Amino acid sequence: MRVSTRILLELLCVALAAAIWLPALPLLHRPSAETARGADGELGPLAERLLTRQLALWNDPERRAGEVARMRAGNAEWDFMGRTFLVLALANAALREPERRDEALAVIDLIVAETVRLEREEGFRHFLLPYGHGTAGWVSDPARSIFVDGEITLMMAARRLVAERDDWREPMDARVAIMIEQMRASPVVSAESYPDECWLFCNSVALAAVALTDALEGTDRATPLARDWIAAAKKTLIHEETGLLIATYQVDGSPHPAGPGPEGTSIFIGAHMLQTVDQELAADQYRRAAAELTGTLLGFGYAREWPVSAEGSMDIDSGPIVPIVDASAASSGLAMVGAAAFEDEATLLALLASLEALGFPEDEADGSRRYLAGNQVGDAVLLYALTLGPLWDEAARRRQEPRDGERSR
Amino acid sequence: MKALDRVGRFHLLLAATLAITWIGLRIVGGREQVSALSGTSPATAGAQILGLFYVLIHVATVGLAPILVIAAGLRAIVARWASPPDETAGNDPVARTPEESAP
Repeated sequence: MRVSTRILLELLCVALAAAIWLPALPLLHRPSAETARGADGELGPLAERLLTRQLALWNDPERRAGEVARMRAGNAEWDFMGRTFLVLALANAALREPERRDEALAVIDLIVAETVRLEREEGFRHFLLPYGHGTAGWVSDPARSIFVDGEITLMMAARRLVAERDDWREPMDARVAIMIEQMRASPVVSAESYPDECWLFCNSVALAAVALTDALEGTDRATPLARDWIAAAKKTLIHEETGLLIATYQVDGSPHPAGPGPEGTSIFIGAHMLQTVDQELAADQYRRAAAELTGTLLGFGYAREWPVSAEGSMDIDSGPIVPIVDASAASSGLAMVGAAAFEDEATLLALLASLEALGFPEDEADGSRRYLAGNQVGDAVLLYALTLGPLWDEAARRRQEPRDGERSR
Repeated sequence: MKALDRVGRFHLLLAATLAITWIGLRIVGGREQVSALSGTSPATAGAQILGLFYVLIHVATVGLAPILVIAAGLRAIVARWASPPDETAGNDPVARTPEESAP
């Protein structure tokens, strides 16, 4: 056989082998929809395993301290957000499966009590990156971070939507009043998370927290606040090329150098939080974000941190960026929340295939699972993505109740 | 193995080397040190390097090794189909059996 024929034959064999194996790879890693999201409103096996791990961590102070220290060494925000996403996941799990309610509420109460204690004793800066630790540059006086106020309020509201805690009504009301006052003080109806740095992530969480509080109290503070926020956002905070909301901006609405364009780590959660106040805008933002930021490679899903038209540079939010496709682990994780919230099953399962392949899942004998490539906040975000739904539904139902009543009167 | 020529055996050897390296790295704890993928640094720089090396070998083993094995199998099938057995043995001394090599 001639050399050229042999080389061609070699290449053909390798190409055929690749054509056989590579399409099979994502199929081997992709969980079924039932494994991921469960069936008949109950948790799926994957969520069960993640939940077991998270509960074990919060019921074992030593293990929890180790995990928290590992995260805080890199980013104190992860410690805080790990609490928020776990509380939201627990509230959803309790609403899905009432037999889990007592255990879920006990852990939620533990998390909220410890978080509020740390905020009181160490200050809200305990949960911020070092550049937020100083006193200079804050527009609000006294300085407050809507990152901390919004997520604490959201955690408390989630708990109260599962089962009432009368002793939290007053502190929640005080926080909501402060958040609204701070947001109203800005021409773009946004409060700062860091000195003169407003984030879409945090302000959308704050809007959701106010909406959930309305659902509990029968008030309607979220509607006018959201109306004004959305009007200002559409005028000032939309990225021209993509139509997506930008990630971060100053209190006066100027784009902030830290994230002047849209970012995956902000927009997927932003769209999900906006579901509580404006379903249409939320769905539009998710559709655009999915089109601009998500993709598949050989059947494996990923999400970019930035759209092609607004490239940014790797930072603590994006995490490491995979070259060529520009995939971001953090953006991909949060994209799962977006995909689940907007029932984009194909994207969710493709992202889960990547996680199964490269997240290095570790199953323990006690039935728990964690992903070695991630950390507690990553697992909590995934758990939330796999459980979300009932909490937002419950809030919408309660917010609708008095309005229906008003109409009938 | 008799049906494979040098290239086919090289494919299998490379696949086996990847798999053995992957198992070795797993035994020394490389899999537990992969958290750098999410930006969560392992305890030491050495652990971080071990984890990243494990990720590279893992991707190569899972993505490439099976392709090499399948390609080796395909080569063997094509070689048998394309050439009469005695002609193949005559052309490729590596694939010749001891009996065929005897005078």
